[in-house]
Amino acid sequence: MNDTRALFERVLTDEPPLSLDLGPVVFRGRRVRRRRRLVAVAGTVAVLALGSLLAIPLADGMRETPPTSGRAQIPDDLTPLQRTIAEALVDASPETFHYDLSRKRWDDESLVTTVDDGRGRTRFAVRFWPIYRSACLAASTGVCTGTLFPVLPEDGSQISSYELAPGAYSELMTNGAENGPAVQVESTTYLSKTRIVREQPPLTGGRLSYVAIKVGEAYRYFLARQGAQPPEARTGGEAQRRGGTP
Amino acid sequence: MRDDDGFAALFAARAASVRRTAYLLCGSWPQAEDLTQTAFARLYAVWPRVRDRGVADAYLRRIVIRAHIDEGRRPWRRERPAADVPDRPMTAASSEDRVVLLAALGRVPAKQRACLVLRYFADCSIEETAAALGCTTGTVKSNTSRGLDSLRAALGDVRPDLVTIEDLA
Repeated sequence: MNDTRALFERVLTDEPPLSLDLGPVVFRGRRVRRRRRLVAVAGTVAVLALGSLLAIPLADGMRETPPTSGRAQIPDDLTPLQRTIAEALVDASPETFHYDLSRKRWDDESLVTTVDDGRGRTRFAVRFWPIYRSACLAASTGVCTGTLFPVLPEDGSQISSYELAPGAYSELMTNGAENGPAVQVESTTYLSKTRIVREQPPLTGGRLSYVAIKVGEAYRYFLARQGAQPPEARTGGEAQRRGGTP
Repeated sequence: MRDDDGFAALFAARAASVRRTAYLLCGSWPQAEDLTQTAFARLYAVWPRVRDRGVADAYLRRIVIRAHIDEGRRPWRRERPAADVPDRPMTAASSEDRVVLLAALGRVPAKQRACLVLRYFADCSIEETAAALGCTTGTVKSNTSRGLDSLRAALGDVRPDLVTIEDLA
């Protein structure tokens, strides 16, 4: 080790005198300090600006969450199960949605009614299917010429869009596991103001899937609390015949 | 003001030593002075937060080494002198040895050379060297060993009589 050090010392012979002054060093140091402060301030401003940009749409989204006052539209003469479903439905929907939840719209736990989403009245249905979600979907939609879109890949939920008549479209969403009751939420726009592009999920698809999930949770929770079994499977055709149109 | 006094004292005490370390890394006195100025300027920028003299030394070493390695990575930012002009007379015997040794040192890769300089000139421990280079102690050991091999080989090529292989570390 000493030899290596001696070698280095030999390299350092003829060392010129130090011409470095403290003044330029301090001047450069202050410049570095100023630059770092500037970068820190600019970074903070950028983070705040980005945060506010993100906060605006988030706040808008939060405003869309349903208020509890929506429960006022739930009539008193519903059965406990119907009331549970109705509350879940209202809670999961935007505050601009107004449902007709009167007693005559119900058949056991099935609901065939109308909803006013703020742009006009639409047919709306909620049905529960014990098994075989996809079969129910095909039976219910009848001439389902539209495309099936996966909504949430992890739970197998799907949404279909099909054209009932020129200018009239329907969206139908299902979710749930094959071993338990599936929930089907259907929304039909009789006079669509916005043409649904076949290759894309319907505009309200995300909202329908959310409604279906929340209603399904409430339904299963209710049955579990009552110790009841889910109702027998019905075909989509039967449900449509029984439910009718609004 | 008291902070500036402390910095001035540190500069007076350590500038020459830092420049020597920088010279062994880069092989040029003007560039060594630039590296020294860069190191002290960056230390000054954080000086209000530095309370420990040992930390300041380690910080200086780290800046010098990283600034030197950065220079090597960005050769287009480096000054290119037209020729080596000796600005003062040199003693014949010492200059010949120095030039040969410097040339041999110049053939050692930058990171290995940094390990050699820190370990054998700046008397840093393996841990201090690792901290200055931002690597593990294992890397320091292997780079030191390889650096010594490179230095032996380089000296063996140009002046085998100057340093025997067994003499080195």
